[in-house]
Amino acid sequence: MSIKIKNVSKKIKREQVLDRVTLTFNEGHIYGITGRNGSGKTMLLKTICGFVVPDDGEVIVDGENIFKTSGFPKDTRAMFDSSNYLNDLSGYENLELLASIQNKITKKEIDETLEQVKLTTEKNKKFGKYSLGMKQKVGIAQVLMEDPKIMIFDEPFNGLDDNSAKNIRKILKKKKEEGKIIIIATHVKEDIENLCDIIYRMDKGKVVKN
Amino acid sequence: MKYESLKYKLLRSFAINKTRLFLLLLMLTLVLVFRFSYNFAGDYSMYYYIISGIAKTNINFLNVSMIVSYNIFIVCLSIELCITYKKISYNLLPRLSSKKIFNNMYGENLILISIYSLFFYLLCSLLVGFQEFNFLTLLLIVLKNIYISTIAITLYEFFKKYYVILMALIIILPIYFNYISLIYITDFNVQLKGVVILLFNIILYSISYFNRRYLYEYKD
Repeated sequence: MSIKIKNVSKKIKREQVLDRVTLTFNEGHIYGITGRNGSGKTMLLKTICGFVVPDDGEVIVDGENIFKTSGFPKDTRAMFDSSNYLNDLSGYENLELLASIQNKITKKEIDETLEQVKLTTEKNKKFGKYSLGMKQKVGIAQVLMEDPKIMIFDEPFNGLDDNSAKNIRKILKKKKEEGKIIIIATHVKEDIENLCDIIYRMDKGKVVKN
Repeated sequence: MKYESLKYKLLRSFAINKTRLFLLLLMLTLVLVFRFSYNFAGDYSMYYYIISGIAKTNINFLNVSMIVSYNIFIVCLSIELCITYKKISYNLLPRLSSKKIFNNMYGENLILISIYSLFFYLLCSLLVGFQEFNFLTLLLIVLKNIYISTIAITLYEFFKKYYVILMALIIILPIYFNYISLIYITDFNVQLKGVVILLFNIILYSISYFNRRYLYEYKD
């Protein structure tokens, strides 16, 4: 499996947010995308997920141009803003709600994922009462729980303490060994320096260095 | 279909929200204020119309406040449901197609609006001792509320930065629509009004359906 981005461009209100981006992501690797705020990292990740339709170019996942088929890549999970959950449900209930859509995993597997990200003790607390770090853990667990082939994370280490960040890095390395494609965007390069196999830097919508 | 379970859970989460309970209490207070300040003079049907957010005759400040509050309440419910869906769409989308998400949202909106419309109609009926209780009127009210909530969902993306305009449109349109249909077209019977509003609903639903990317596409 691979993700091929070919000459992808996107303009929003006269601003070129993605400028002829061409990249390839292969399985069994962790990729990092860095760059300052507004450089186009999140926009690139959203384009890979099919949330943003580019003005030009193609996104080919597993040989299929996603915008000519379903619009969304198969077997992909993504973590964007950590507040994209229902505040009135607990962290566990939020995950259970999402897992119930495809019914691929059991409640035990949700519990195991929460255990992995070290959120078991707070799993029944309402999401709205979580700290930023806990919310991030729910977001990470949401990506991990159904064991998808492609995992996309936007700023996953924001708000995590050192031990939690270390634990997440360890989990992601294990997933890489299982042959997953993992893409992480962050504005703090140090967060991913020892984790990623390849790091791309973005500026003004362009990939400027790798 | 597996996604059926989503409907129930989201609705449950939606129903227990504090803001919504506050709005509901506010509406109930208004209903009671209206009930005890209005001189019926034997015309209970007018009370039903006004309490249901439809203008008929004798428009005064209290009537208009009631109509506007009722319509704002209905619109807020739908917009909030839409915002909730938009909020969690990034997590739903890899698991569910955008068509199913939209249909789910619309289905939930129908249930929600129907329940609230029924609740208020029954409450109003109870307050006036079930005088002139009428199933056709109830159906018309439910359809009218679905109509204004569909306007809200359809226009949400276009007008979210101009919320005041959106609100004004939503409040004015149904009043205007009902004002014309109920006063000037006197031979326009309830069933026909129902059919017209149903057609409006279908048109608005179609517009909204084809524009469903607003639920997740980045626009700012």
